[in-house]
Amino acid sequence: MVNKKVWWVLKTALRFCLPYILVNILIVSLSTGVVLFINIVNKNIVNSLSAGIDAGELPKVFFILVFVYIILYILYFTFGFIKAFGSNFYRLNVDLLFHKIFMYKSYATSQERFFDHEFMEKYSFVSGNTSKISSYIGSLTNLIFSNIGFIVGTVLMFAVYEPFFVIYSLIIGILAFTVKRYIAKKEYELDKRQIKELRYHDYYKEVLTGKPTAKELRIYRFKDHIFRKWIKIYDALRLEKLNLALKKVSLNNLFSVVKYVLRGAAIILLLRGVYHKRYDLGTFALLFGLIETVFNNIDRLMTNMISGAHKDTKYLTDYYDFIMPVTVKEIKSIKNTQDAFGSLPFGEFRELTIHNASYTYPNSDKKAVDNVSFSLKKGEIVSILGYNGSGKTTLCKLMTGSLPLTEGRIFLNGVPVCEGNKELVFQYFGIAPQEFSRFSIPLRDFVGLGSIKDKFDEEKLFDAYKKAGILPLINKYKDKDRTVLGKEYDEEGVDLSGGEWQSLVIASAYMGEPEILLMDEPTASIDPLKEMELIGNLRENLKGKTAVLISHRIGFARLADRIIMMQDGKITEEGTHEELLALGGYYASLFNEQKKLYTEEKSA
Amino acid sequence: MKEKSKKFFNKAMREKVTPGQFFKVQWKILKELYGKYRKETTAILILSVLAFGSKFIELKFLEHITDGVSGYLNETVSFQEIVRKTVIFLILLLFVLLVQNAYNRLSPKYESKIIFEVEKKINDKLSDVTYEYYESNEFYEKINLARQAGSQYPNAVYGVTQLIRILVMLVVYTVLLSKIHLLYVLVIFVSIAAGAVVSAKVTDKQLDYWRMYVSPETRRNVYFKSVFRNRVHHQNIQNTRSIGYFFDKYRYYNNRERKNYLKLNLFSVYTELITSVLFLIVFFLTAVMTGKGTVSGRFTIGYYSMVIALLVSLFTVLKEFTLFMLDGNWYVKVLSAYYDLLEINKNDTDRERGEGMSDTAIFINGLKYKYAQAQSYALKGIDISFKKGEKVAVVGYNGSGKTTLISVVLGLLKKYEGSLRLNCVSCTAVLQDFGQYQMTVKENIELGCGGKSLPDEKIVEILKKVNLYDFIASKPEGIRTMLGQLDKGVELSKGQWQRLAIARLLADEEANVWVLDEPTAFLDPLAEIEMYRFIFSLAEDRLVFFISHRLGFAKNAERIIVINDGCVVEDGTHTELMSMKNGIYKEMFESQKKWYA
Repeated sequence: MVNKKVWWVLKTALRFCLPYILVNILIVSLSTGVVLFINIVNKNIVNSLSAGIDAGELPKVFFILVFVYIILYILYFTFGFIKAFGSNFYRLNVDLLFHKIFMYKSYATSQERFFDHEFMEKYSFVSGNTSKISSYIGSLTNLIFSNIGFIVGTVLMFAVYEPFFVIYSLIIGILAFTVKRYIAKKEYELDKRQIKELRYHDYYKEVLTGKPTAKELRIYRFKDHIFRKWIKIYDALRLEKLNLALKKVSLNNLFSVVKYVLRGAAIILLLRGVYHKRYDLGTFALLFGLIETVFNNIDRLMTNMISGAHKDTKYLTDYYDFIMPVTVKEIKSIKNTQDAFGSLPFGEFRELTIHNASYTYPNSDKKAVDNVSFSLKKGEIVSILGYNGSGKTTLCKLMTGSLPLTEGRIFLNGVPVCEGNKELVFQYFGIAPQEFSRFSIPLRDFVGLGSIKDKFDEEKLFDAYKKAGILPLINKYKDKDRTVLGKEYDEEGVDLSGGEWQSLVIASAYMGEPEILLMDEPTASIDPLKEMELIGNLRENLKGKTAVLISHRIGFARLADRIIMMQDGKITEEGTHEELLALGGYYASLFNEQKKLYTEEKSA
Repeated sequence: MKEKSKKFFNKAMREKVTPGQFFKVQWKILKELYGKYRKETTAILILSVLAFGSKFIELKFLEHITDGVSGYLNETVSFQEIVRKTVIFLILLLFVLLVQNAYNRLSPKYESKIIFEVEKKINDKLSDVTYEYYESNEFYEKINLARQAGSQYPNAVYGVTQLIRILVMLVVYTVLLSKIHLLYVLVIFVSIAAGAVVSAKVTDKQLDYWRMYVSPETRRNVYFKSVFRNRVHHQNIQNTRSIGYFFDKYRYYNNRERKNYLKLNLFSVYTELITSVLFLIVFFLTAVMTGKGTVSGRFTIGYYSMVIALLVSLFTVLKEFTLFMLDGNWYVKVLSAYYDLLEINKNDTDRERGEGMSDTAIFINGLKYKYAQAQSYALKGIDISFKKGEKVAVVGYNGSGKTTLISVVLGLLKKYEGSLRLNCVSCTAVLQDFGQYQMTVKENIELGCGGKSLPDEKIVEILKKVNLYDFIASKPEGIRTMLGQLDKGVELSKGQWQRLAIARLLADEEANVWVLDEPTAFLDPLAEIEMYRFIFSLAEDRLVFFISHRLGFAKNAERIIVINDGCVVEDGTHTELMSMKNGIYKEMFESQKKWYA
């Protein structure tokens, strides 16, 4: 039931959250003890009462016993609330711990794995089920300290008066275990099987009711089409779930009949003891009450055990597989990672050289970047132009170390960039990616993330705002740069247009004056005047630093010291504007065609 | 913190729900359910009340068997008598068990059906309402609430059965307890009711507290916790090494949630304290009174055992009921949000459609538009008309109102002021943030004409036109190639997706107005030029609007309109606009032209 992987998870939880778990254990055990005690006191009350009948008046001990009984009951009720209190406390802590490990592990996962479907499936399964760990620990605690404790207590009492009951408890335990285990297994299987369909279901629902597709849904009027698809898949999923639920009900119903029969048998056994006058009235009342409760407790025990043994251990195993290898030391060191950033590891930027670099995406057989070599010197502005899918963006990801090279090498200041020091390279770059995230966080944080080591330094932030020209935008809001972007975080947040988001991304790239500024289609949704302003200020803003610009805009190419044309993952042309025009290749045709648009009288 | 968190709740959310409202909604749903699933609803109601009988039988069983055993031990009752009674009670319990089992089988089916129905209605409505609702936050709040209606809806039936159970229980228990004294029964019920009311009040406070201080923190902590699940987010967090930042945020809100949760739990101390004291008094009184009665021979010892068991169960059942009534507060809000959602848009009028002989396709007069939460108008009075077959370039800064005007024309925004007359117009469009549908290539194109199936040849023809055919044909499954990450599909580049978006435009042949909002932003320059020429060659006599920042393209349009700050400020041909002094168009054009000097 507890294999090595599960054991590791438990050990880790105990190591880091021991006090919280102990408090919970204490509360659980106390509440169990109280229940047992209530039953025993009740026995004595009945006996004293029956003695009172013989004597004709209530003995004093009756009043004391009743009082104790009530106090115990109150404790029992109150424990319900204390239990909730304790379990909350440990749950949030355990959740925090395991989410922390998961977050850091997925952070360390290479970006290329996110293009791998199998990985994604596993990833989303684990990330959606991480909180199952704390519920596992909870059910384990209940199992050991509540259910088992109670059952051991009851069985001991049974053993004193009626040893046969021990066997009954055993039979019902085995039966319950078999039934619940079967159900738990089926549930887990269904969960795993439905992952794919569920993704489709979520996707269709999102298309149907989400904001991103809301416009097209109405313009193209394809609602009915998607609606039909959604219903079909929803209904299929629903019926599968319902079938399992009904199976579960049938089994539970069967089980309840068996339980009924066993209870009947237990009562008959009890009556046999009565017939032989083996126990007094109080003991009879105690045993009669216990028969009922012991069955319920065995039932609960099995539920906890099964969810521990089968369902959740599987989630736990998946979790373990995902996060391994990780050591306790690593977990301890997961704290302010930004403190690790110091000065530039290879000195001030002088040169970046790429030698015969190639890259192939996991799901593809075509090289996205094919045997590319070039170098980038300090102070240069290089513009990369090319068709869509020509590999420009991939090349940049290779440069920053976001994607690993399939072949070839990269040198920074003459030092080869490899697995060991890849982590350090990013400090040279300020990146404005084409696919940027619209994080719902305060504006200053959004820009500040561009250079996290500067810890949101006011001056540097202001500098970045100025360079990206977003000061007017910031001044528009009453919270200035503390305005929250988007609504996910805070309903008071503001919605930005595509162009506004993009200027924020540019500010974030400028943040902290990076050695190399890397901008991938930075002005796709920015209006021409603003774009002109950004392009015009670029050289001045760089202050002699280096820049790589990927853009369709000739404006950026004109600004560059060197232009690199890419086609099918290869570099086809390289040189200055004049050189390339003289070459008469693709760049020349590109420039001339566009020039015609602006200069010729009527073209189309 | 107080002020900030309060904002999370819209006023409506904080309002209390009266029992009257509660029962009204309850009744409404019950009627609906009864009308729709008559047999099942009746069966559920009857079975659940019958199943409740087990409590009564168990109590009586306890009384009789204790008396029997006591009698047997004192040798006043024969053993056969005990066995006879036991068998009778076991048979009765078997009957109740069967009823319970039948109920257990029926209820998942019933619930599943109802939830499906509710989900269907919600999604149908959401995909039906005017786009502008999606621009408002209140709408989102409503959706979030209404989405929970599916799980709350079947509770109407449970609510009623619960109520019936409580009533039955009160009657039965009164009968059982009246043996002691009628006045005593009254005292018990009054004190229990008082306890219930107090705990209701406290729990209600708790619920408010939860909504105000716990759930917003949960929302934030979940946001930061799950930020990784998105591939792009993951990539950008990696690029900026900002994991520490996101983790700290998560930890911060997790701690806040925990602290507030603990405070929330402390509220329970009051409830527990008060109910405990009541319990203590009532219990002690009962135990002593029945104990005395038993000793004096008024009651049997079995009766004593039964009364004690009864009191315990009375407390638990009433507690459950109180909690249920409290959930009712939530329940009513959820369901009224659901009903509100279904009512939305019902009375929105359709756009004016002129039947016309004139060659004016679109006639706009004094058009004003204001977004739901905005301070000022996005469109500040536009008077303009467009002829059939015109090719119009719409130019302006970001946020000048171009997209709003186009959205009004497209029928996405309907709550405008002024008038908009359309003359036999059917629109289609390529939007700036076009969809990248995770479906097959064929379906992606078919979506352009409402999802109706097109013949393969037609698809191939369109793909060839947008220059995507070679790529698609190279894939083993051809036009049935699955796209996107949903199911091991083929990954397209942004430019290829854009071509597919243009293919959607071509799929709808009946459309006579085309709206192109930066339709080529992700194509490379040569392809862009080619695509523009191509689109215009196919446009024929259609009215075409296109928004572009690349003024080289706008230059060749028959008509250029410049929108600034919600007004049309310039309107004419390229030559006309270039001759204007200080014109916005002129300034923009010159600035771009410089690149080609």
